[in-house]
Amino acid sequence: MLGLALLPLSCGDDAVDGPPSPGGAGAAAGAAGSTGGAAGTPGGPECPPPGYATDPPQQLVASVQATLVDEQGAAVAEVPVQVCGLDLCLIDETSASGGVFVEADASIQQPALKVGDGIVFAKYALPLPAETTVHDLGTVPAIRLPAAGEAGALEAGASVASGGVTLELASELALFVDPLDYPEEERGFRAVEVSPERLPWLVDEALGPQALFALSPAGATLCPAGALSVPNTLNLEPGAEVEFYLHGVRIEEEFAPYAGWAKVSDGEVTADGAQIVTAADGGLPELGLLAVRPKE
Amino acid sequence: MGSPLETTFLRPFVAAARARWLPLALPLTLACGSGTPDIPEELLATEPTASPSTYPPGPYLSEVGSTLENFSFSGWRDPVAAGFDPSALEVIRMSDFYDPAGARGLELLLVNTAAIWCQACRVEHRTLPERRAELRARGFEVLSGLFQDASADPADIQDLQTWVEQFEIDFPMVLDPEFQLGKYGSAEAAPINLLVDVRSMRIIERFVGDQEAVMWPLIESELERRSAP
Repeated sequence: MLGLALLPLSCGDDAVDGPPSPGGAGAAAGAAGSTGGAAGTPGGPECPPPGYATDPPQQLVASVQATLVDEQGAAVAEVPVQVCGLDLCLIDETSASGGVFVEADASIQQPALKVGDGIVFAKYALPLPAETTVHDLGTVPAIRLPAAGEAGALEAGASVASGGVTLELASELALFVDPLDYPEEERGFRAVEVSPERLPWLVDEALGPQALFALSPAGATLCPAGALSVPNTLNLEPGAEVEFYLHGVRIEEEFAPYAGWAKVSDGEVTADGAQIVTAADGGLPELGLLAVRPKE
Repeated sequence: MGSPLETTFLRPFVAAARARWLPLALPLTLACGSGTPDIPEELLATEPTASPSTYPPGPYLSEVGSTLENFSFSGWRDPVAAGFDPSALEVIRMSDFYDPAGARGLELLLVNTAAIWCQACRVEHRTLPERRAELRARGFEVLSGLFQDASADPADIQDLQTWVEQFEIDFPMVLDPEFQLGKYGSAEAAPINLLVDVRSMRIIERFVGDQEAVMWPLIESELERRSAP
């Protein structure tokens, strides 16, 4: 288990509150690149991303091996997976038994195994540590998203719900959904809770209990940030303070480091104890895999 | 904008088997190559390459130092100027960049591969138009070929259109569903960049991945060397 530490960063802050994660996925805040993301529209709201881009050294990746399985442990066949870094991507398709074997033999900056298309399966990226060149990740999960027919449209002023997760969008919303990832009919909001036990590479148990939610279209940026409400499956007390973290799947690293985490919002448990909501001055700037955990 | 349409074929796309609809009667200029089973018939080559007399003779090997093969594609010479209009697609050949005497004002050609599934390719294309613009007057040109979609299936014209619009590509960009440029690298890895001397169409260097820290200084130094008295 890599046990990556979650990297806190308040939304809109310039400074990182904590150390970079040990897996190299975390990074000090840096200049964000121009990405076509939601930096706002002319005359509209401005949402400059904190930016986590760095220039890490290349590391040799000889091969990456894994088996992709669903919630029942069944093999997920014929699904594209990638070994992708900041400078080079290699693609493979799972075998009939869910097998992945990427014989990379390449030097790659910040390599990770990328799983999920954001349409059928949620996207995430497992960092490949530099300590070895041969990576056998064992069984990795395919996190199935709700069907497209259940998706609500992401529109300015809308409140969309899926899988117990509700996202409220500002009336002056500037939304960017990458058309290269999501055809028009696949741009609705979908969410599903993910058991942290399924993603031990990404969850540091030492940081305490946390709930994971996969939101799609992953990588879509929202300006202003969307107000999020998730079920209080952590059974925290009403009024308890929490933090929302975003997992980075985009190598542009605008709102979270690639294959790592960054804090995107504070939050709290509602008075009735049923929901956990983002703070009024926070919110979610980008959709993707989220971790919610009690504030220390 | 570029040369007139040459030997183009107005063919309807049969897209029922694909998730995406493509406009009927797209003028499609087709590349040379073999019939790869996964590629719709309409996208396969029907046109021979340019006359050998207008292009350096082979053999066309894949190693650095070899002469680039005179592939032929369908694409736009300047997608922005063409308004990303599929009806403005035209034949683009490697021979279009061959400039033995410098009559075209070209020195170096960067031949690039891109795939929609490849995020590194996307990041590279965000800066390629600007980099090319900076070096254009010194004889630098880019030709990029989009070869696969998000699912690693052969790219189609809608993919190409989405790509060039997304990144406001204003340099020659073509569709390469057969992955002719795969002669120089695997379809499983992207991007690939070939730096080509347009005087001879010889491959100066080949880069697997977006190796900007190495590639752009080499391009700079090559241009510098060529402009030296």
